[in-house]
Amino acid sequence: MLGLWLTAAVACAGWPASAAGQGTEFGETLVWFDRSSSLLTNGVSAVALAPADGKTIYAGGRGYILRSTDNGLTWRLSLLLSAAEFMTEIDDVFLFDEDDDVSFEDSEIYNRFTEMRDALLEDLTDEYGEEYARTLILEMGSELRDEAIGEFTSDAESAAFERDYVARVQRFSAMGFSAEDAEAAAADPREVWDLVVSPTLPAHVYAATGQGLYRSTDRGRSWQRLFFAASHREQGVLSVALTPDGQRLLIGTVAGLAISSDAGATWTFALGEVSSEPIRQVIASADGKRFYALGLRRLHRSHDGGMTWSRINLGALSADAIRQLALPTEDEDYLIAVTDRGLYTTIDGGESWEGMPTAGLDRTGLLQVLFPTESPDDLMVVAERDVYLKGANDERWRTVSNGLIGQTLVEATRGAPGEFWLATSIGLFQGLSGAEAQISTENLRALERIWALEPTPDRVIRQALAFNGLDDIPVDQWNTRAYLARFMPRAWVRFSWRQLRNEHQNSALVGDKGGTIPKAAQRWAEVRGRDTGDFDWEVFALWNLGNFLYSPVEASIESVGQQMYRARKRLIARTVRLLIRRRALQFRIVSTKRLSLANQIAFQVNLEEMTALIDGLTGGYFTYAYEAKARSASAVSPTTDAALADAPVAPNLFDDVLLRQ
Amino acid sequence: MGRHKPFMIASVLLLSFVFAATASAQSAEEVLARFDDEPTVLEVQRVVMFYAGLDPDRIEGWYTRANVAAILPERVTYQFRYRDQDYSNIRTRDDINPANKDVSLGFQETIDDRNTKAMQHDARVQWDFSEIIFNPDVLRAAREAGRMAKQRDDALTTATKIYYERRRAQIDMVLNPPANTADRLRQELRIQELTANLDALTGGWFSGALRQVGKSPY
Repeated sequence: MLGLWLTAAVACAGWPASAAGQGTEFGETLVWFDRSSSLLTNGVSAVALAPADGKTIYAGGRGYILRSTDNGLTWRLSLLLSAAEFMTEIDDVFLFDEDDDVSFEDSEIYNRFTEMRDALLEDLTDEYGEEYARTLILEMGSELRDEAIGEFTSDAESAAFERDYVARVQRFSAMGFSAEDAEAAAADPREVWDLVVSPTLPAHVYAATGQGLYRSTDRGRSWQRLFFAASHREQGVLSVALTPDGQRLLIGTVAGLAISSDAGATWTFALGEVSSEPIRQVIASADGKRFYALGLRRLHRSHDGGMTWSRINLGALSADAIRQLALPTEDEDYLIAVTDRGLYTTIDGGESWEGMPTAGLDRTGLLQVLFPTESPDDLMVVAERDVYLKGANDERWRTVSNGLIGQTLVEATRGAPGEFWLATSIGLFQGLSGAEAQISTENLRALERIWALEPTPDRVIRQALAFNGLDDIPVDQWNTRAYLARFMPRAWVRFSWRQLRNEHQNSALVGDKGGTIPKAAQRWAEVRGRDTGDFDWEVFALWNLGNFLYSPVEASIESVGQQMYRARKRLIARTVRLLIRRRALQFRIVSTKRLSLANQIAFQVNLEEMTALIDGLTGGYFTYAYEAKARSASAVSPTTDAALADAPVAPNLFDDVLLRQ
Repeated sequence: MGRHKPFMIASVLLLSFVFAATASAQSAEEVLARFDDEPTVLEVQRVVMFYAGLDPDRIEGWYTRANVAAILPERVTYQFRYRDQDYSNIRTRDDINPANKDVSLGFQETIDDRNTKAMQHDARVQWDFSEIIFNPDVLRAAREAGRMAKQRDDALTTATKIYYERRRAQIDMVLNPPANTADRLRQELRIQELTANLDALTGGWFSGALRQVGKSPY
């Protein structure tokens, strides 16, 4: 992944300016430039341009809507979407109090935990037998629980970052949510799903969000919420459409399709199946009478301005496979559907569908089709990784992704002739053609020089592992040594030294008064003394023969090994992510023009912050290696520092770096 | 306490070729130069790491000591016993011959007096030779290494984010000077709050470092 990205990055950096993008049938090149500057450090999920303005752009991401009145040069916060008021109900859906074990048992995470435990038990049983496997599982109980919580939270987070509503619902369903909960959670109260500027009143902007429909009547300076449901679960608005005269509003909500004929003052849910499922997209025909509503499971059509709806039989096509519908012309029966298997078209209002030519098009991850010119035969397709163009006379699709590196694409919209705006996972890009599309060759070469001075990603990763003590996980070595250790006994030596001193022993016989035996003969006395000393020692050795059949230390080795592998995997993933983000930011800097002073500084601080985060993971290595290489590049001969930066992986360079300050 | 030079090299080099307007680039440098005398992010990270007891060198020490520890006996016991015994026995005998009172052994007393002192030294030294080959404590050290790596990452990431949040607030104050006292106080309070957060992570070192260069942290 990293290798691919770097290859792409270096390839981009090495473009000759004149070759940046191939000539298209439109006679121009197309290159994407980052226009989000520092204000949009997060992803953009929806973008809208004020018609006949050319300067005002709205960009919505998770939790915010931003507005630029100078064609993307500077941005200001327009609407902040706080999810606080929704969190209680959301908490009920998939969060729980970690300190409350009862709640844990009742949570979706518990299911994840039991699945994880059972799967691991099965694997370990195959390898070690059931009894030993159960011992291992018991020992790993709390770690598995933590891991289940971590994985669940991570899955929920990553599911919430899927742009596609269907993909989110599927992810939440796979996590164990009921259909209703999955559809509600997928709407996400912080998400901006759609942005539409009124075709008749350019100052009016509508935002379909996970917490209802918002409208601004003063070009995004202030907002009011027009639609909100009684239940938070039905609050999410996924799409919005206006009739060409701007009089009628149709919104696709989590609970179905709602219509307002009085500029959003009152709402009525459409009758029938169209209000039995989440509606992801609503499109209106040019005459404002025919509408299409793309639901989670069905496609619906109305011939009477939204009053009555009927279901379209999609035949072999499945509604949940359709990512987007487009009406290329005023002919309301001519539709194009973007699906996960390719592009399909119908000329009879959806009764029959035919696949469109896909030569040159990578059909995976297709998201959107739009029309780059006034001709409905010129097509642009946005996929997750690339943008494609195809002119009316072209046989093949051409990639026009120059300038897009590492991000996931979301949706594009057309601006002035030859200009496009593209929402991506890392910000907003402007597609330009012609002279405007030239990235300065000097900039690109300078970037190449800087990258050459920076430590290579593999070295940074190795250093991160070494710094965190995860470079070597000697499970095999531990196992071997633990096996050999069984042959070694527990042994003890006992020493004993005893000393006895019988210092004196007196015995005496004393006669008292006169008898027939002379007195002298009646007395005797004896004095004796005796000393002894003993020293002895013993050696004992004890083997636990049971260890030859089973040793508890094996379970511990297995458990610790798995923990360390997981920690190592997390660390590598985090390091790679930071490295990619840092290089993407550098590329954004060289491809961004006309930055204000505030944004120059913001970019620089962002770059420093990202470098510092990498330094935190590597003990200051990134900075150390860069500095050493930069010094050696300016010196006549390579220095010892440069050799150190290249050769060994030094464990902790914080002090070395600081000493040089 | 100079700013972080490598960042400067990278950033300035990048920005200098990106932004054609030299005057503007110089202004950016001037703005950032105002904070040159403050502690660098690497210094903050280092202090945070040591203050939180998350220095990775500790782990290496654990491994080494766990491997060597088994060479020493796992148990040494020593016992000393001392006994001082005094023994005294007095026997009294009075022999009387009722038939011949002239012959008598008379009163007889036997005294037996003994004193004994005994000392005993017992020592026991025990090794678990299996731990010379493999000491299970190494596993505990390894487990702790994984836990510490995560804690260190969390601590350093938090410190880094706060450090740059504070820097952004400082820059904002320079670029958008507050229009009135209330705004100024709000901005200053925000910076003080972030300074306090850094102090909490560094045991007060951060504000101490600011005082050393003549800046008032609060």
